Amino acid sequence: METEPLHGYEIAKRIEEESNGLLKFTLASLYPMLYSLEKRGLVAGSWETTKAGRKRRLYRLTSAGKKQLQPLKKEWGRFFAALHRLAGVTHA
Amino acid sequence: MPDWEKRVRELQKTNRCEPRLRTEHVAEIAGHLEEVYLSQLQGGVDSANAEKRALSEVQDWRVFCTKIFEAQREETMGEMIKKLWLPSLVILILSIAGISGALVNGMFPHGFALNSQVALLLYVPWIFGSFALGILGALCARRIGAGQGATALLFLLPACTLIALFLAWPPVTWSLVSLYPGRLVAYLAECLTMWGVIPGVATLVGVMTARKMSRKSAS
Repeated sequence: METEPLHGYEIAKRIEEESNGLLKFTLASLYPMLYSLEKRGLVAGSWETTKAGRKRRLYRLTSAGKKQLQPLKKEWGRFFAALHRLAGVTHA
Repeated sequence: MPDWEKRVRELQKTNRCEPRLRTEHVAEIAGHLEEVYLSQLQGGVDSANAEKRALSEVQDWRVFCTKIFEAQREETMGEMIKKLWLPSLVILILSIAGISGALVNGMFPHGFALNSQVALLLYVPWIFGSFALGILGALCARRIGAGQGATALLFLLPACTLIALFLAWPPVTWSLVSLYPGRLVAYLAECLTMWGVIPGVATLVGVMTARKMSRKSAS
């Protein structure tokens, strides 16, 4: 969502693909989170109609969401680096 | 191809999901299920199994509906109150405007004058008006995203304000108290019933009717 708007199914699919199947978001876990983020103004949803005539909702990161994402990314980076150090795992 | 929106509504009904998902959420979730179903078909799965796999995305519909409701409500109690203020205020203003019209036409804020034809012609329509305002307020509240529980409270502000207004209306209250000191309790009971409880109940019935209507249209 940081780079382009995505719809729910696409978000779940991307997460699964980019984590090599390690992280899976089902419908039941994805939508409550998306609606919560939307309520907090971090993502914004808008309806679009596909060429096939199907309606779907696209989510994009709002400027507030982008602002919040940057420090989180740094924090996660530090956290995973610490885990790597603790576990003694290094990149191949 | 299954009608996914219909399936989602059926699943909500059979699992007794309360509160029900909003129409736009039903459409979005149905769209997601359809995508899962189609991707399974593309992967060579037969249609019955593809449907099963799509539906396995949600293990417990009741929990799912509750989670969505809570996600919507999260950090927004203040927002909900803000959302209810406007429809409540509209009901109150229109209700007071209606009663002012009645007062201008000679109806006194107590039951004694209700024998007159004018009072009945004004009081009864005002009560029906309160019912209509309840429907209008509930529809407005739902449209701006207020929850069903919160919407049911819409009648409170107008009812309480009307009661306070008539109890504290000095010219009538004090003159009647001084004229009929022995009838104070009866007067207060009459005021409360006619100018607070009855219009309040009429508004509440309107709100509940609107809720029922929106539930029917959702299912």
